[in-house]
Amino acid sequence: MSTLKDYIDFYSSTGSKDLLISYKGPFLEDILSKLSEIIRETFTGDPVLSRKLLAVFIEMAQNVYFYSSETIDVGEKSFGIGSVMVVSNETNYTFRTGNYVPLDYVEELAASCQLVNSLDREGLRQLKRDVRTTKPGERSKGAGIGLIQIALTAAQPIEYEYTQVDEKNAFFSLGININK
Amino acid sequence: MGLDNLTIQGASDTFFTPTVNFNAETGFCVLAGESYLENTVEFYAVLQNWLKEFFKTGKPINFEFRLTYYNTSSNKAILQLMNSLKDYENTGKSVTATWHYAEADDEMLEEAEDYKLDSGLDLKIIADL
Repeated sequence: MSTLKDYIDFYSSTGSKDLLISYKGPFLEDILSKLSEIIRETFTGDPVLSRKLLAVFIEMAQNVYFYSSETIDVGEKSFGIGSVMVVSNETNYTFRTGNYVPLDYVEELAASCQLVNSLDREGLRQLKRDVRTTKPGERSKGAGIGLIQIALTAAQPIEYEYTQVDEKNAFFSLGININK
Repeated sequence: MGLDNLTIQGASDTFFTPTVNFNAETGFCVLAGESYLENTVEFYAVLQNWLKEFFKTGKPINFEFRLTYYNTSSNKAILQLMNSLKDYENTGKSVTATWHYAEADDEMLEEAEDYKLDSGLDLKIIADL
């Protein structure tokens, strides 16, 4: 990003009046808290929608926080790096995260998304119940509870895509729509 | 030496702490607000330990869940609270448990139904306007 033109391209690619949040960098708790505050403050008039948007935002952010293969040390702690975007469209709100994940984990993550998308609402509720009663230490079956929760709250399929970026990592993008 | 009440003032800072009001005298216990914590396990261990002490009294307990948001880590800890209440009930003690949710929020109703199934507790589900 060396020239002004590059920077304008970057700005245009992420910028529109419908953009609520766009962030790339370390997923620090304080920053996530401020970003979730934007969501809360914007939707105070609709508590149910506000809870849903907040729930999806927090679970998606945790997904990046825990699984990003790019990390940075800030003070004494290490934080995952990733990006998150929240856009308001005509009919829905779109959440998108993107981050590097280890190659040996990406297939598993994609399989989790595929499993979640293959289930109807009753199936998702059952899977969530199964996962939450899995004893600590046991490997949870099928999908992480965060991903299941995202699908339940959004009540729409998860959009996911990934591509290998180097010998160790893939870039993984997760997208979720919530109806207005 | 009686058991003290357990009172935690809820707060929405970097994390969201739920409000806790557990009354050792009356057995009326409320967990309300939002639960998204830096250390979920530690926070709920305090609640579980209080209940464990309270259960030694054999008194009836009336537990109200009035949560408006919780993350998936808290989700499991809430089920464990209900499991403890059910265990107490199984020893022949009186347990009343209610779940309040905003009427328009169907997902929170589903949550209550699934908690009821998993804990076996006779959870009364109440829609608030």
